[in-house]
Amino acid sequence: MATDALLSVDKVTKKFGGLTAVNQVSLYVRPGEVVGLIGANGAGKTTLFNMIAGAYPVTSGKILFEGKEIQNLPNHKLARIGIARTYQIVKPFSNLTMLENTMVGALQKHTKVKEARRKAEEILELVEMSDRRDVRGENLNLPELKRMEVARALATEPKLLLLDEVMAGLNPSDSEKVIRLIQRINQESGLTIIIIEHVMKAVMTLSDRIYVLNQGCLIAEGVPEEVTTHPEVIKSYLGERRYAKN
Amino acid sequence: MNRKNIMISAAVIVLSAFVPVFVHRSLVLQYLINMMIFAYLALAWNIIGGYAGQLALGNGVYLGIGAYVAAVLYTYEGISPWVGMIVAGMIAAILALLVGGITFRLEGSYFALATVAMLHIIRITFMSNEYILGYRTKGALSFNIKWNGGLMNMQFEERSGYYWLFLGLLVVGILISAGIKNSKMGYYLQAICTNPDASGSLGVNVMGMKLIANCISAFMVAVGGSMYAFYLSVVDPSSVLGYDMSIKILLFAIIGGRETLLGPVFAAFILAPLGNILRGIVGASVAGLAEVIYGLVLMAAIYFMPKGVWPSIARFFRKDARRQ
Amino acid sequence: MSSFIMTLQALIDGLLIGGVYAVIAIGLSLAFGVMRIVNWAHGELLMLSIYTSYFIFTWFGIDPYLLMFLTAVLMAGFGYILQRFVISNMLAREKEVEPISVLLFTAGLGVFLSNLALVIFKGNPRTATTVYTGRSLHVGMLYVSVPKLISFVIAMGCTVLLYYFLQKSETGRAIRAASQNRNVVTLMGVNIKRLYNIAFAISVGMVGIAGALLLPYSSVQPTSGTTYSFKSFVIIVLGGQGSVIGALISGLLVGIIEKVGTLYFSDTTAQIAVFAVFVLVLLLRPNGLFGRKQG
Repeated sequence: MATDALLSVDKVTKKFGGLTAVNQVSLYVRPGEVVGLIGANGAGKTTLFNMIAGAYPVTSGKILFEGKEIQNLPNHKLARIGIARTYQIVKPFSNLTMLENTMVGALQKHTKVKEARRKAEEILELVEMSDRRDVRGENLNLPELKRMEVARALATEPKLLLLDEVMAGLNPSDSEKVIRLIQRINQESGLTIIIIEHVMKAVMTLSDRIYVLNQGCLIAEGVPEEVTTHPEVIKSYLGERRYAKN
Repeated sequence: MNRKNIMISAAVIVLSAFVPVFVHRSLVLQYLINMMIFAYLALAWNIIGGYAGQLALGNGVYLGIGAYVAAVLYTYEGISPWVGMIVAGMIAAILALLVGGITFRLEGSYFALATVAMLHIIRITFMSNEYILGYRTKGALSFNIKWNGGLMNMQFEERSGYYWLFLGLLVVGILISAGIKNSKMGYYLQAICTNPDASGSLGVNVMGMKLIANCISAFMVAVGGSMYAFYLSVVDPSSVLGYDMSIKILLFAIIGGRETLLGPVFAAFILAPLGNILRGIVGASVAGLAEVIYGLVLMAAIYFMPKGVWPSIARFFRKDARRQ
Repeated sequence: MSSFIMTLQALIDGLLIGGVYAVIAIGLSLAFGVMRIVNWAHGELLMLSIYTSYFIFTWFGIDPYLLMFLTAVLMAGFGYILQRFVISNMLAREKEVEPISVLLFTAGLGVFLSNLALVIFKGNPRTATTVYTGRSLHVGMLYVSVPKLISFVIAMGCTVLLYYFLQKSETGRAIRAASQNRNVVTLMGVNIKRLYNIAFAISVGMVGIAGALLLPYSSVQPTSGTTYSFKSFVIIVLGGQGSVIGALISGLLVGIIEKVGTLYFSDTTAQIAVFAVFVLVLLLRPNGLFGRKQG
């Protein structure tokens, strides 16, 4: 395990009743890295995310953030120490506008509403959603909501951003925009990012390193080129996909 | 809030303060007082029930607690109701903390249920015991507050005194409610209302926020209850601890618009006097008729206008402003 | 009479009345478990059902235990119409799992019904004197009230029938599946709207039966509904949502706590004791004494 890691997950297991969703998984993320997490449906990616973000307690194992144990802390505390996330299935505040949604994130660091509003406006500028700022959550479409999820998370000014399938359901041109957005955020502010993504092109372009999960277990890790040529991976995941395509 | 709105609000308040100078008919003042007290209570309920979206079905219990605590402290301990209402508010807040602490981690209906359960239990306790904690509250009978006029005793010779008292209360209520709505807390509560999970992951302490909102709301309702008791100068469990009272308060907030600041005030201003007038016409002969209508109105409001009337009114004015 | 005998007597009374509580609560639990609808007017519907039984009995002199079938059908019909034409529309509109609007709507319905009863029937309690009223069997030093015993037996019969309906019949299985996971039923291709209509009709139908069962030995007044609502909610919290067996055991338990509490303390204390149990369960076992953990 790297000693300079921002986040390290140490032999984490999650069981739901008799089912082991995540089994003895260890991984690390260095500051400034973009790390991809891939695997077939039900491989345990989102479960792992939920544990890192504090949505579920772990069954066993440790999660360290900046050297401190964070497993089993509630999600709002994790948000305060700098871990932000988006949801695979969007969770907007439907009664609030896009700007107000983003402000809820910004209010964490900026207690004054005025300052939070300024911060939120800045973020909406960044995600190119300024023109939709006064539309309520219930009236936004999916690509807009996906961006809003990212905007809200960024507004908390995190050290680590967890992106859970932000491109799912988007058309290629929208995905392309999101890829560029993530690259920009990472390069400009050096923000550390973990992404779960089904769109392989996106993961391959964005990630410095990739971890592959299969049925709750880690089966491979490495730079994108290594992972795509890893026999286990081809067999269990990429192979299946190629097979399915042909 | 911009400067123009502040000016308008200030003007409305100043003008309202002059009403008793011109209006001497006691009945009119009585209606106005009734409108203001219910507008205030609906605003207070709206903090937990509207902004935070937690269905406090029985939160009228704090009205009864406020009424009894202030009345008892004044009668038996000689404590001024101005102090008594603060004590009452704190007792209510502690109860709200307990009820919320037990039920907020469960689904919403448990909180609703627990508030109603508390209301029933406290009403039954008051109705069937002559003494509560050593103080004689006279069970189901009316507990009269001894008349002793004076500002310190919150008792006034003229109705206009009460008019000003409740106008002040309503203004404070609106200020608190507006302050909360436009603050960090207000945004957090509205976020929790629609999506607690997402709120948590953005750093909102969901449990803590709900508890604070419940305590503030309970405190405010109790203070209103203390003043209400001194206005009526009589307290009895079936009125101040009645389930109908709870329903009436939340009805105004819901019809007005749960997520809005002024909706509850608007609805209370329209509906409270209607209730009074109705009771004036048929009430004495037909008990329960006003409540039958409240029940119907509540059903119709939820079915046809779940967001209340205020959003439509606000939209109308905004359009109007844009046209100019 | 020795205190042992008195306690035993209170236990029997509590058990007998608890059986009827169980029927009422099972009805509520069915709506709560399947549709996640908190029917706040459940007690008021019961009140309506007791009044209905009362008037049919006084006007036509039909035996209350025969009347049961009539009130059951009437109330089930009312429940069906309410669900089919009103509540279903609100469910379709609201995305949340536990629809807030329905809770408020039924709270309004409750206020409406109880005060309508007050307007029409006035506040005084009414009691029907049936052939069973006041009769009792002597077993040693104990008295067993005949109407309570008959009502208890019928209540148990209804519970068993409902239990088998839910376990064995196709509709019953679908209802149970829905109470565990709404999406599963949608996948199975069951018409979920129809399922909801049936479940709600049964839920209110149970109240129709309970109304007739209560008539021979208890009085009814406009405020009766609230008391029964409260008890039913406590029972389903104790028993766990959607569980028939849980509601049955908790119903009996609440009946016993009430009667024994009244014997040793007072009626008020007994009601507070029921509340205390409710709070303790919420604190320690929020899924109920017999409930499974909710995913």
